[in-house]
Amino acid sequence: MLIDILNGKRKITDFLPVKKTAASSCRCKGDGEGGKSNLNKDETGAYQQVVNKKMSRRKAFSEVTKGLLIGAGMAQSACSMTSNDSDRNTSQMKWEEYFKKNYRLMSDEEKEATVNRLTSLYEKRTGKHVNIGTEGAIENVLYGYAFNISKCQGYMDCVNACVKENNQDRSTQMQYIRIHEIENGQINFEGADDNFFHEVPAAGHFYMGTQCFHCENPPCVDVCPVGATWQEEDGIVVIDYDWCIGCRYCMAACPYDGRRFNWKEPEVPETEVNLVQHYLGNRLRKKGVMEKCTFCVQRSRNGKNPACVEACPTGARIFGNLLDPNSQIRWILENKKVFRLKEDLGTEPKFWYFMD
Amino acid sequence: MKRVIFGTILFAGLFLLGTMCSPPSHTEEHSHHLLDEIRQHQSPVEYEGLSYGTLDTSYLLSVHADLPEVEDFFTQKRVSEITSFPCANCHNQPLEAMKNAQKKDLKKAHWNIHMAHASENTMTCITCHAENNMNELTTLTGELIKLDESFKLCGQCHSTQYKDWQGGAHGKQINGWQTPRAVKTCVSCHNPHQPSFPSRFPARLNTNQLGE
Repeated sequence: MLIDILNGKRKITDFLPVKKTAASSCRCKGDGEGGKSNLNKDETGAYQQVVNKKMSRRKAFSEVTKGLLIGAGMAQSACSMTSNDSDRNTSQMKWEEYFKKNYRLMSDEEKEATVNRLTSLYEKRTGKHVNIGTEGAIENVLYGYAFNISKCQGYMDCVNACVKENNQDRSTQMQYIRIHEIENGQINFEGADDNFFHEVPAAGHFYMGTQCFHCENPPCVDVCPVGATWQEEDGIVVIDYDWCIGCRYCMAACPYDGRRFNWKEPEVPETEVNLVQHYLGNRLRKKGVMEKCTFCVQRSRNGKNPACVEACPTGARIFGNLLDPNSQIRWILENKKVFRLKEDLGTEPKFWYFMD
Repeated sequence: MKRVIFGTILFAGLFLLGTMCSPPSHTEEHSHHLLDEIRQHQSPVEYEGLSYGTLDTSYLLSVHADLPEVEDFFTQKRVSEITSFPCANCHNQPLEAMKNAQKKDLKKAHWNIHMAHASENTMTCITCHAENNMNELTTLTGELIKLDESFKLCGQCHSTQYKDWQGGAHGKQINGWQTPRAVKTCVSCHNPHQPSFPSRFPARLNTNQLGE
C-alpha cells in the first residue's frame, strides 16, 4: 500500500473509508430524488469501516467493561454507605455514552437512547432540561447560501448571534464566522484585516464573511480517518462530536479555514446556554473535538434561517433551498453575477458571493 | 548508436509511466457541475410539516411581482406600525393652508425629521407625500399609493434595488427560508427620510487570532 502511494499509483485518500466520488455526489436524478442513493453508499462505506473493523472489538470491549462495571458497582454499593441508585445510574449512563455507536449507524431507538442519556446527564448536572433534536434532512432540500459583498458593512452582529446560538466556547472566543475587511479593488485575503475595530464601514473598504461553505465535494470528509464527519442528504457537512478523535486532519484539509478545534474544555455560562439543540449541531462539545458551522441545523431543519442570516442588519446574508426554483437563492444564482472562493479546486462550495 | 536507442526507449518508458501514474484531473472527476444539477430541479417544492412555515397572512400584504419569473410573495404591512395614523387627524387642511397660517397656530410637529435622502432640488416632502391627502403617498405623476405599498414609491427611482427585492437579492426574509416568501418592506429597514445606514462600531471585536 505504501509503495503504491509512493509510486503515485494510488492516492492516500483511496485508502480512507468514506470516499465520495463525483458520480456518487450527483444530485441530478430528476426532481424528487435529490441524491438519496449516494447516502446508502456512504453508509455502507462507513459501516464497513466502523463495524467490520472496529465495532467487534469495541463491542467486545464494551461488554467486558460493562460486566466489570456492574460487578464493581454492585460490590461498591454493597459496601458503601454513601453511594445511591442515582450515582450508579449516572455512571452507568456515562459508560453507555462512552461506548455508543457512530451516529450514522444508530437506529432510531439508539438515537433516542443517547439523547435521553445526554438530556438526563445534563439535567442532573444543572437542573435544566435541554432539548436535543435528531431531525433528519427534509425531502427535496439542498441548502445553499449567498453573501452580498456590497451589503456587508462589518457590523459583526452575525458573529454575536452565531456564538450565542451555537454554544461556542467563550473563553477562547471561538467563532465560526470570520469577517475580513478588504481594500476596494482586490479580493486578497492576505491583505485583509481580520482584526478591525473601528467605525464601520471604513472608507475604501469592503467586507467579506467566510465560514464553512458546506462543499458538495468536501475534502474534510475525505480525510477523516474515523468517519466522524460526513455530508447529510440536505448538503450540510456535520460532525459526530462523540466520534471525533481530534486529529485535525479535516482542519488541514479545508481550503477555506472553515473548521475549528476545541483546544480546551469549552466554557459557556450556564445562563447563556442555548437549550434548543441538535445532536449534529449546537449541543455542548468537549475538549479535543472539531466543530464548525452547521448552517444552524437545529434551526434550518425546522424552517428557520440560520442565526447569522436572521441577525444580519443589512440583508447581506441569504439562505435557502437550492432545489426550490422559487427560492431567493435560486433567483440570485440565475440573475446576479455570483462567484465562489477557489472554484478551481473542484470542492463546489454551496456558498456564493455576489455584488449589487 | 545503441546508447541513443536505449535512451529513447528509456525516455519513452518513463514518459508513459508518468502519464499512467499522474492523478486524474479535476475536470474529469467533476464532469457534473453543481449549478447544472441544481438547474434541473424546476418543479416547486412543498414544505409540509414545517412548524415554522405556517404564515399568519393577516398582518401581511400579498405582492404581485413585476418580474415574470418571480411568484407572488408577502411583505409586511406598514400602517399598523405608524403611531399617529391616520395623518389626517392633524392634517385637516391642505399643506399650503397650514403654511400660511399664523405663526402662533403652527404646531411643533415633525421637528425631528431630518431629510438626508436626495438633494432639495430632487425631492421635498411632497415628492412622496400626497399634498392633498396626507393619509397616502403619491407617485411622481400624481397617482396615489397606499402607505402599505410604499415599495412601489421607492421603486420609481431605485429600480435596481426594487428588482433585487422582488427576486430576493435585496432585503430580509421574515418567515425562515421556505417559500412562499415573506419579506420585510423597504421602510422596515430604511428610514425613508435618511435611508442610508449610519456607520457605527462593530458589535464585537474580531478576535480570530486568540483561539488558534
